Amino acid sequence: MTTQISIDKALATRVGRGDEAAFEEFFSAYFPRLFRFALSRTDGDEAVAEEVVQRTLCNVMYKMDSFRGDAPLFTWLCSICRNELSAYFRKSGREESFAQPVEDNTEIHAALERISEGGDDPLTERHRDEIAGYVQATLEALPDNYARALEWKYMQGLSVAEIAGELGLSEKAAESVLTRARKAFREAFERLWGFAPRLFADDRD
Amino acid sequence: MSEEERSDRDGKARPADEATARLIARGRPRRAIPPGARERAHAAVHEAWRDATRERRRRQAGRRWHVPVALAASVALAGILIARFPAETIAPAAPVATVALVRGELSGADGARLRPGAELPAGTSLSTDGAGRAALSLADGTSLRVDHDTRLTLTADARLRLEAGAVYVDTAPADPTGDGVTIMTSYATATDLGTQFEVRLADEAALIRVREGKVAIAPATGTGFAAVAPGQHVAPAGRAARVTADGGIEASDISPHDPSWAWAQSVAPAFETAGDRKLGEFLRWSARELGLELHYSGDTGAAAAAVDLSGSVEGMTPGEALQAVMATTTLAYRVQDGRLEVYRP
Repeated sequence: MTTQISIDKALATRVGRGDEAAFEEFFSAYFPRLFRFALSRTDGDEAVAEEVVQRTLCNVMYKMDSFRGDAPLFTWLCSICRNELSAYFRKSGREESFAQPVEDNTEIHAALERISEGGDDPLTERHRDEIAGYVQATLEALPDNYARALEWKYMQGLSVAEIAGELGLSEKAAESVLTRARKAFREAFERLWGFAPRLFADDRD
Repeated sequence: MSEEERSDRDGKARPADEATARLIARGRPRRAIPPGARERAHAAVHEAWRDATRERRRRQAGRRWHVPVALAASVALAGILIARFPAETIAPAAPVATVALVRGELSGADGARLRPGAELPAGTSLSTDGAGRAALSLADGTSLRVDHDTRLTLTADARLRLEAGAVYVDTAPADPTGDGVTIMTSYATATDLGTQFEVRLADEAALIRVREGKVAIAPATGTGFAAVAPGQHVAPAGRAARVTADGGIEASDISPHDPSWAWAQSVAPAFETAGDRKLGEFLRWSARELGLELHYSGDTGAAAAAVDLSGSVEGMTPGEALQAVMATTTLAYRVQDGRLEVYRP
């Protein structure tokens, strides 16, 4: 079976061998995701995020051979980007900005459970903003087509037929993308924030 | 079709999907990429990719030397096995380094002067006098610079024993998994983890200064040369470690653009301009040699990536070459706070 890691490994190998099309595929897939990853750790400072991501990807070009496929390519890139961010903050004397894991925040934990269960909404403005931020950062960690499909469906209210039209797919294929996107969102949410609402566990395939 | 997809088509969402939908509906959409950021990054990363590809191919060409090394080893072994019989030929030892540049005098063990292009097999001892400096190119592409009053022996591929003076090592940018160059001294052994660093013997100690990347340091535990034990101590960029005979280590800071690195720049092999080289590649090389961070203003990164280089900077130091090359372009540069900033005047 072709896994994401084997796809990633093949792409990294092609980039390392000097394949121009592979470079473009790599850059298009990972620059936006890595930029947003960095942005969420620079308090939204776009100039710093751009500088750090540019440096990260430039360094990665010289070490593509060392990607061994122990984890997905994006995870590997994030770990290198984290080091670049730390180096930047150390040099500039600024403090790093990290979101607090949800598992350490019992109020948010409870609010997430209420939202996921469709309960009442007694959230404060601050909680609403924090939860919106967690969702945003989770979407930003997803492949572009998954994040777009979820935004269209659940934020803009597009129908599956409209999403199929936007993606140039059949409705059946668009449904399949949405299914995989929701699953990827749940997995990314738990991975990023160390917590998942109880109902996320009802995820049988 | 999975149960989940089937439930989508039946219009019956599962609890996990409903929970996901409710949560996403409370979120903010992803942030937009600011205008121009993608293009600027693309220009810089594409240039780095081309440079890395070229470097990788150069290294692969270098590795082909290993084939003759293996063949030579086989021949040598055969020679031992049939030593009782008259040997018709003796395979020459394969080179582990080539002399790239000499300023002043570089001598072999027999006192013979070595010139650029000389191939050096394992076991070669070298020395410089009070006015001599040199650059060697190791078989894997690493640049090794040799300072005044230095004595060393190339013991094997990417390994040398430093007996006096100082050497500077410039390997490819950080690759923590790579097999590094190893410098052995009687006080400590230093192994690079993808880096630029210097090992200097002075005042009964080995001073290891890291300009970029990381270096693993193993202090000597007794007499003779220390065994390699990467990970025992790792010095990062911007740090120096002074290792004494008793194994003590004193750490201090060293800036990557400190003037004391200048000696290594003075014997930097010239940037090769032949073969479709771009200004951007040259600027990356210059910044690396000068220990500076390269920073492009506005669209200058894209512009530098598009400008073809011509002419030669042979015989110039990196600083001189930078000045000469930039004078021929419409771009300008300044060095400020450890950064090489390229801008439009």
